[in-house]
Amino acid sequence: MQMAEREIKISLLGHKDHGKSTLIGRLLYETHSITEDRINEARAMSKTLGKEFEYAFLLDSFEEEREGGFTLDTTRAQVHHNGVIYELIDVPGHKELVKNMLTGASLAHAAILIVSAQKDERLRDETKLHLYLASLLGIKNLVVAINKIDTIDYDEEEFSRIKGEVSVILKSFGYEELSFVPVSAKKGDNVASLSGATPWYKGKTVMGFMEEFSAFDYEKELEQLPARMFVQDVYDLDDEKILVGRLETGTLAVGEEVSIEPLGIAHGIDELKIKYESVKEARVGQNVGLMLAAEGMANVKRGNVCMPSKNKARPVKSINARIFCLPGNEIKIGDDLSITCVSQETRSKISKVIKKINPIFDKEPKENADEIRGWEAAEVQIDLKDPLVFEKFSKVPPMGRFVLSKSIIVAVGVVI
Amino acid sequence: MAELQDLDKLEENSIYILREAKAKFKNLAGLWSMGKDSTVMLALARKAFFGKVPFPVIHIDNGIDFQETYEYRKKLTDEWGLDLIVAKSIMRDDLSGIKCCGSNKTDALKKLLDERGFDGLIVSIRRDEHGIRAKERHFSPRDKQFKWNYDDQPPEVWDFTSKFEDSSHVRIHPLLQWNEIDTWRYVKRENIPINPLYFSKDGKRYRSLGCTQCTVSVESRASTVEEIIEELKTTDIAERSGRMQDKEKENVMQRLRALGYM
Repeated sequence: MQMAEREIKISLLGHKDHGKSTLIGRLLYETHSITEDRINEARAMSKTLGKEFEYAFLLDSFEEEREGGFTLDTTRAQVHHNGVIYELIDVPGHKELVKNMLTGASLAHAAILIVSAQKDERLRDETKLHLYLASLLGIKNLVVAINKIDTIDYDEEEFSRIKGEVSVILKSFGYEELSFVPVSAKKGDNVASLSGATPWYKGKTVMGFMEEFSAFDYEKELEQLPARMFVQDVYDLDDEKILVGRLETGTLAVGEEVSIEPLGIAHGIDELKIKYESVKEARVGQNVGLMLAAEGMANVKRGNVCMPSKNKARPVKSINARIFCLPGNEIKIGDDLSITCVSQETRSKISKVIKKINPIFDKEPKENADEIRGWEAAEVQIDLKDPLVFEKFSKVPPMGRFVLSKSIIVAVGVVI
Repeated sequence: MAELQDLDKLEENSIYILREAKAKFKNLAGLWSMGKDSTVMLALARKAFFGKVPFPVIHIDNGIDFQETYEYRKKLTDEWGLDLIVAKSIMRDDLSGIKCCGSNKTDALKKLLDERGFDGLIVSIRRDEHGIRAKERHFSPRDKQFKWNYDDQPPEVWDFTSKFEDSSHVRIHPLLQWNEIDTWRYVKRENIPINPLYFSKDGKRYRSLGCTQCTVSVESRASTVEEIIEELKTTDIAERSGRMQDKEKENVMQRLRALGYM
């Protein structure tokens, strides 16, 4: 047993019943990433329910999930393979359960889209919905698994036809030139080893694509950005104030001048702590404690943002954003909403809907609407009650994503 | 399993969640079963809050825990300066398994939370322990009846949570991401004092701790933390195989958790 060289989170995407849980179950099984006990438990359960062994039962552990044969809520399972830990995020396919899908998929570095090749399944509502959300979430690394290839007798022509249909949708959501793998998650074809049943397929297995995704250094990308730290809390330590928070991007060093916005405080870092210890430098992902002998420290509170003065973002009172409204909700122009980005939060309202689209049904966006309904995505202008620090999601991801809430989260969004 | 998770990353992640909990809830408490995971949680809290655990820790005590557990409780409470609350639960001879865990542990907890008005409760469950626990969020509300509405959990997008206005309390799970072996690696790295029941005596040890009624020891020669880590590298048996409530019937864990069990 070795320390993993890398860890990566990969989300499964796609319509219900197309085989997301089954594929993860299969990967767990083939890579011996699960104990014999858990496999036996899933075996016994399949038998009790009078079903053939279901790989999906290694993930789906709610009674309702097993009896109903669907995933209700997101789960994660670790596949261990060749020095890498792949955290596979299973999500429900039902469009009613998209809040659970987003809970899982929002954490992913990469994704596997599953489309069933079975004649009555293929390209469906949730296939489109999940693809739209993957693009909103900024997931760039994506591979398409055409599952249940055994149900079309491993036919190359049929595979190419499906590939063509899916490519059209992919393009419309900004995904170009993706790879497609013919797969049977149930039988194991092209999951962890190439299948003799598809001699015409010359590409990689699903596992092969996962390895390719894991070679990318996601942490380094964040580390190279300017430093950003949201104040999570302020503690008193030996009669001094210490600001704690996680470094979302970049690095910070003792002596460096930081600005605390929107307060406008600027001062050099006197002391930097990681857990108990004083350190010279802190990097992305670490929880740091900052001490600075600046005027106005008594005013610093949760939600303020620390940034290097030479490379800071300014607080704003209005943002342009793409948002997606969760099913069961409706947002009207002027509705009172709270907006949350990590620890910063204020009241807000949508002042303008520039255009909106239902990614499942609409071909063309609608302009100038005055409300956004469940499952609709929109480009909007949001006015903030108090100034907050936002940056474009495409430039500094942790500074450009937010949720809008009434009593519960009603929408997710990114700053454009 | 052939690869080990990065302990530094796990530690950072847990510290972040603990600090979020402290910032978000007015009246926070942690559950301490004297087991390895909740003890690791306390060690992490000491790091997150610069040497001191800033919330009370609750032991649900049915009076039939192992003697070693009580001695261990006393020792660590003194050493770490813990604010310990012992919630006495009443054992009933006529109950066992699901009913026992349900009515004893859960009811005692319910009573205490009502009395003390705790709105946030830190629970050290891990995703790899049980399929049902894998379905949990880092922040998970329990409704006014104490129930876990697992079929309608609020979203946690990019780790941003809802406001939990309709909940009786929120469960906070800072160790979800840890695997069993990670807990032991951390115990070793940080030299954390651990309940002696985990170490082999006469060829047997406890791998998961409940009360004397329903915890069964497993065959093992591992008598040190290092030996336990070595043992876990090769085992093919699930951690909670000695815990009766997990096995009793299908879906027992789901029902227990829905009713408020840990």
